[in-house]
Amino acid sequence: MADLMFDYQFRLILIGDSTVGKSSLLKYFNDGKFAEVSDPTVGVDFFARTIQIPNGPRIKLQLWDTAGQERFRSITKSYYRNSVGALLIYDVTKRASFEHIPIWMNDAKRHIEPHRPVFVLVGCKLDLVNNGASKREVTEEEAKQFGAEHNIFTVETSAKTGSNVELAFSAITQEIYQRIISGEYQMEEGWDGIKSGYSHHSANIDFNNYIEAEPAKLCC
Amino acid sequence: MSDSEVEFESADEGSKSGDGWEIETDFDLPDLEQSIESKPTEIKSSALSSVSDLANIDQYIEHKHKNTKSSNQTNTFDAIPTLQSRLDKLTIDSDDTNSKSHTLKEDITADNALKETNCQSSVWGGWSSGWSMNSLISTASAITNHVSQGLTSVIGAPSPEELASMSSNKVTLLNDKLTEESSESILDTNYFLSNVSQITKIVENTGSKLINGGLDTLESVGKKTLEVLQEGDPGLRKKRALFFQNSEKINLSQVLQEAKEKSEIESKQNNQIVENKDYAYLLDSFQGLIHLESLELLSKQCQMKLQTVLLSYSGTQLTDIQDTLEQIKGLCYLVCDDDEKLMNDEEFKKCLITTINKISVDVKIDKILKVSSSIDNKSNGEFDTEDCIHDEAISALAELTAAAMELYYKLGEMIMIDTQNHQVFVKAENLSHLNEAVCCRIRSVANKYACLLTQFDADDTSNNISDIYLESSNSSSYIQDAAQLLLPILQLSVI
Repeated sequence: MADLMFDYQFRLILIGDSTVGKSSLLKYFNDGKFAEVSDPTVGVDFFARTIQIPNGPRIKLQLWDTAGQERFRSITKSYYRNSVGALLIYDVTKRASFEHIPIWMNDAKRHIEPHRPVFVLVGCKLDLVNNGASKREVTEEEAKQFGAEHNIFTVETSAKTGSNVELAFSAITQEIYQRIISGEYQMEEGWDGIKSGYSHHSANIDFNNYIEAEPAKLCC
Repeated sequence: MSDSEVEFESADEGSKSGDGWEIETDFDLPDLEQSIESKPTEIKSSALSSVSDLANIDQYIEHKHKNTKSSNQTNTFDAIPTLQSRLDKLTIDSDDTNSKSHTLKEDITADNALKETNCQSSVWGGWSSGWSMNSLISTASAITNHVSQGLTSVIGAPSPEELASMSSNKVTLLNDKLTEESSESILDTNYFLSNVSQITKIVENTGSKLINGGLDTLESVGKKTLEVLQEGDPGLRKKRALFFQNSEKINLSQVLQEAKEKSEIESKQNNQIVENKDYAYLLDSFQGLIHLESLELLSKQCQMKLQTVLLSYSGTQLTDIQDTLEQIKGLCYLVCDDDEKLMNDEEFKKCLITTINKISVDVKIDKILKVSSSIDNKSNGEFDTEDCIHDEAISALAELTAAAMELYYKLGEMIMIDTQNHQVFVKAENLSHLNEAVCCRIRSVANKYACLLTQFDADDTSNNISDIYLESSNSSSYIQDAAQLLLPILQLSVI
C-alpha cells in the first residue's frame, strides 16, 4: 500500500513482449518477493509504491503492468496516454523480445504524444544466465549500445534475486524528476502522467505554520 | 374562387411568420396542389405567392373595412352586424400584423368563409382603393426582415424586398387596369373569375422570381451554416461526440477522488496522518479508485465507438441494432427482487463461481473471494472497543468495494477482447446477477458489524451504526454504477 504523504505522483507503464517478466519485476518491486508461479496478465494491472528521491521529494509511482499478449493490445494502448514514462522490458535469454523493443518504443512514443516520455530499458531474468540455466541471447553491450543511441538508461535485473530491480525504477523516477526541475514537464489539466501530492513543502512545517502557509500554496 | 381561397390560406401561413424565418413553411402550402394542376412547370412560383399574399391580407382587411363602413355599397352584406365587430378588430390588427398574428389568424379563417359568399358581389369593387404596392413591399419586408438582414450582410444574397420591388411595376400596371374595369362592372361574376386568374398568374410570375431568389438564399444559408459548423471540426466529429456524451453522468471516480483528497486535507489539519480510516481514502488505498477510473476509460472508449458505428447504419438495420442494444440494457438493469437479501461468504462464493463462468472464464475471482472470507474471519474475532468495530467495518466495506471494482474492470477487459459474442445476452443477465450478489454481500457485511455494535450502549453507538449503513449503501451504489459502465462494452460486442 502506498504511503499517504507524497509530493508527486508519476504514472509509469511497463511494456514488452509476453512472458518477459514484467509482472514478476513489478511484484518484486512492490512486495519484495518473487512469485514462483505467475499467471499471464489480463489487460492491465495496477501497483503503487512511494519512493524517496535522496534529498528530494517523495514520489508515488503508479505502475501499470500491461499484458504482453497481442489480444490485449487494443486495451493496453488506452493506458499509454496518461503515462509519463515507460519501462521497456525484454528477456535477456530471448533474442526476439529484445528485437521487438524498438516497436514497443515507437508505439509508446506515438500514443504518449504530445508528451515526450522517459524510457528505461530493462533486461530481465539475469539470474537464469548467472546460474547457467539458460543461455544469454542478448549481450550487455548490445543493450548499452541501444541505450546510447536513444539516450536511455539501461539495466539488467533479476526479479528472483532482486538485483537491480530498485535501480531500474529509481532511475526512471529520477529522470522524470529532473525533467520537472528543468521545466520540461509540467502538471497539466487532463493529463495524469504527473500529478502533485498534498504534502508540498510541509515535511518540516509544524501544524501552526501550516495554516499560514496554505493560502500561498493554493495559488501555485 | 379557389384561387383566392388558396391564396388566403397561404397568407395565413405567411402572417404567422413574425420573425421571418418561416419562409420555409411556405413550401408545403396548399398552393402547390393548385399550381400543379394549372402550371406544372411553375410549382415554385405559386408557393411563394404567400409572401405577397400577406400584403393581400392588409389590402383585404383595409378594403373590407371600408366597404362595411361605406353606405354606398349596400350590396349583399348579410352578415354585416357580426362582421362589423370582427373587422374593427381586424383593422387594429392589421396595423401590426407581425405582433398580433395569432388573433389575425383566427379572424382570417373566419373571413375566408365569409369571403366565399360575399366576394362575388361586393369585394372587387374596392380592390383598387386599398391596393398599394408600398404595402405589399413593406409586408414582404416585415416577413423576411430578420432573414434578409442576416443574409445580405453574411452571404450577400439579394433581399426579398428587392426582388419584390423588381416585379412590383408589373403588378401596379395590372392593378390600374383592374381598377378601371372593376368599377364599371361590379356584378359580372365571370369577369371577376377571369380577373382572378389573371391576378394569380401575375402573382405566380412575381412569385417565381421571389422563390428562385429565396431558394438561392436558403441554399446559401445551408452551405454557410455547414461551413461554419465544420470549421476546425471535419466530419463534425467533435460535435457529434458532444451530442452523444451523457451530460448528466458525472464521473464517479472523480467524485470519489475528490472525497479522498478532502479527507486527506482534513486529516492533515487534524494532524492524524497515520491513522486515517476514511472510506474514500481506504477505497483508494485498496486500489478501488484506479480500477474504477480505468473501467471508466474503457467504457467511454466503447461508448464513442458505439456511437460512431451506429452513425454508419440507417433504416431498419439501425432499428434492429437499437432494439438489440435496448434488450441488453434491459438485462443489465434487472431489478433486485429482494432489497433485504443477505449473503454469507459461502453463498457468495457459489453465486460468483456460477455467474463468472458464464461471463468470462479468464477472469479470476480469487481476490474478491479472499477478501470476502477474510472479512468473515475478522468479523468473528474479538474487538476491544466500539471504535475498532466501526473502523473495521468501514475498512471491510471499502476493501470489498475495491475488489468488486477490480473484478468489474477485469470483466470489462475480457468482454472487450472476447470474440465469442453470441452469448452477450447470457453475459448481460449474469452480470446483473453478479451485481446483485455483490450488493447482498456488502449488505450482509454491514449487518454483521452493526449487530456487533448493538451489544454496546454508548452515546456513539447509534452514530456508528448509521455510519456503517451509510457507507454500505454508498458501496452498493458505487458498485452498481461501476456495473453500468460495462453496458457500452457489452453493447459494442454485439455489433
